[in-house]
Formats: sequence, C-alpha cells, structure tokens
Amino acid sequence: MGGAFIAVPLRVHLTHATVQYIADASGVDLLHVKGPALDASLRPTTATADGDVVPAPRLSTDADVLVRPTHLDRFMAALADHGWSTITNFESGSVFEHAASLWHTHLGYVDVHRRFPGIGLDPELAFERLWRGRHSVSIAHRDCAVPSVEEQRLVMLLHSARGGGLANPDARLWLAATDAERERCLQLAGAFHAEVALAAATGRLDEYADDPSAGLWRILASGGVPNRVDEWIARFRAARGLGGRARVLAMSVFVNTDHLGMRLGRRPTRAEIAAEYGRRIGRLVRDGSAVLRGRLRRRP
Amino acid sequence: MRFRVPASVGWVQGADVLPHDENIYLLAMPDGVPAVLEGNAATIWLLAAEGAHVRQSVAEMVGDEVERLFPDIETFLADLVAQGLLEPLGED
Repeated sequence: MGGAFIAVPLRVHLTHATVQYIADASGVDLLHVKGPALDASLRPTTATADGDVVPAPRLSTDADVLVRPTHLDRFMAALADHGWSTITNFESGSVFEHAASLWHTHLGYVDVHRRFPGIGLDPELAFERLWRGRHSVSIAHRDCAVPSVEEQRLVMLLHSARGGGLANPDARLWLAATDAERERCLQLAGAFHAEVALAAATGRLDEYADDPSAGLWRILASGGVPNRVDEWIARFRAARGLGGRARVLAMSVFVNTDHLGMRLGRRPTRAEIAAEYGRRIGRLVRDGSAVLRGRLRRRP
Repeated sequence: MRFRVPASVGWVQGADVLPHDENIYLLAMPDGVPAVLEGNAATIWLLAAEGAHVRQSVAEMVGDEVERLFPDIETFLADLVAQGLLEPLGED
C-alpha cells in the first residue's frame, strides 16, 4: 500500500493539502493558485467518454501558494520542520525574486510565492486584498483558500505575461473573456498596480511604451531567449530608485549557486563558482558587443 | 462498522485528475508517506470514507460471499486505522 509510484499531477493535490495542513497548524495565511486551485470556470474544457463537456483537470508539476508576507518566515520554518528542503531561494529563484522552490522526498515541489511578478502594489497590501476576496475549495479533501475567480484570472494572465504573452495558452483567459470580464480584469489590474504586466499579457504593451518597465515586459512576453545585455538593460530601467538599480547591476553577473548546484547535481566548489562568474562576464561582454554592433548598424 | 476520515488525511480519487485512473491516493498529513489503494481496496475505502456501514454495504454487493470475504476486509480496515488513515465510529 505504501511508498508506491504516484503520478505527479496526483501528488500535487496531496502537496497542496499538506502545505495547507502545515499552514493551519502554524497560524499562517496561505492562498493556493494555479493547478488544482484554479477555478473550473477558468479551465479549458474537454469531452468525456460519454460526450459531456467538462472542465479539464489542471495538470501541474508543482504546487503554487502565496503566503502572507508577514507570515513568510514562520511558514518557511514550519515547512523545514516537516522535511521540505529549499532548492532555490527567493533571491536566486527568478528575475523577480518572488518565489522559493522547495522539495519533499515524498511530495515533490512546492513554489512558495511572497509576491506575484507584475503586481506593483505593496506585497502585504496585495495579499490582504486577495485574502479579503478569498473563498475555499477542497483539494485532496482539505479546505484551501483561493483568490476570487476574477483575481485568479488576473494572476493567470500576469503569469502568462512572463511566458509568451498572447502566445501562451492561458491567454485564452483574455481572448475568450466577455467584455464585462475584460473590464473587471482591467479594473483589478489598476487596483493591484499591474497594468503594464497585464498589457504585456494581452498584446497592448504599446499603450505603456513610456513606462520604465515596458522594455522588460516586452522581452518576457516575447517568449524567446533574450540577449543577456538587452535583458539586463531592461531590468535596470525597470528597477526603482538608485538602490534598485545598483542591485540589478550587481545581479547581472551574480552566479546563482542554487541553479549551478542543480545543474551539477551537487554543491558547486569555489573553483566551479569562479569559473561560472568568468563565463557570465564573458557572455555579457560578447552580448554587449553584439548589441553595440547592432545599434551601430541601425544608425543612419 | 462505520468509519470516518480524520481531518489530518488528504486523499484523491484518481479519476478526478487522470482519465481511467480508478485508484485512491491518500496521505496522513503532514509527515506520512503517500499510499495507493487499488481495486477492491479502493472500493472499501470509498465505502468507509462515505460513512457507510461497511459490512452491510459489502453484503449488498456480494451477498453471502461477505462471510468469506469479511475477515480480510476487517484486517484491511484495522490496518488503515492503525496507520491513522481512518477512525472507527462504532458498529452503527
């Protein structure tokens, strides 16, 4: 009975339930997003063997949760107490430093979000707004809090903005939306200060061409592999204040030791980290030369 | 003999997630190891989880065969209880 193979999409349901159990026991506010937490009305449909059209199950490879920022440290400690290991931390996980990825031997991956990329509202205020509109769904027979349906639509679209924009399959949540649903989505984007990211998701980025973050979102929504220099220039422009820009410059050559360790399958040595720094600086120089050559060629 | 599922148990019907998956997947949270119930074991679990009188329900399905089958079923249910995956509610 025990220890048998369980397909990942099924295991993800148990993961959602387990992290909710841990959150409940620790007094942590948690919202479940994407995957099995996604409202049935936002899923694509599929035909059953009987010919009925039903919402398709959302097959995920990990569980995604958003934690109230002021509860984050307590939640991470509680997860560690129950056998969850941090694979990538917040600082090294992504361009946006928004989520940490944790692994459990029996349950696989959970992504713990402290904020959502694209939402400019203060993370605590954004969480509180989502929390006020929450309702409960049963995942693996555990009550899990999820944002309102229309806020889920916004979250999914903001996520698609980082993965191809209109080319992302989740763009259907905009393309197939009614006028009223689009209007509500735009209103919510305003409330969450997420207008530019939503514009990137919905092919309207030209409306925000003057926004400092537009360049970064254009690269992310393109879905292609960006030139590193173009990406870092866009991140530099999007960063707020001197501190933010200084951090972007430092990060442009920062070696993500978590990712390097995952690639090597073990903790990297000092020599390997140094070699990676050399590779990153070399790539930036090569990309920078390419950008410069391109810009010189474009000059009249 | 009736049972209920403790609040600390998460469980999924495979068919709700993957087509043609008739198994039950369950876990004593937060530190248990996920388990899989197949075939008759999954059927017995569903009866128990719904709070049905297990012996009566099995008898309705198999008739007199219940006398031969039930010792094994009782052992299986006792195992689930011992692992914290079910709680007995009594005979009625």
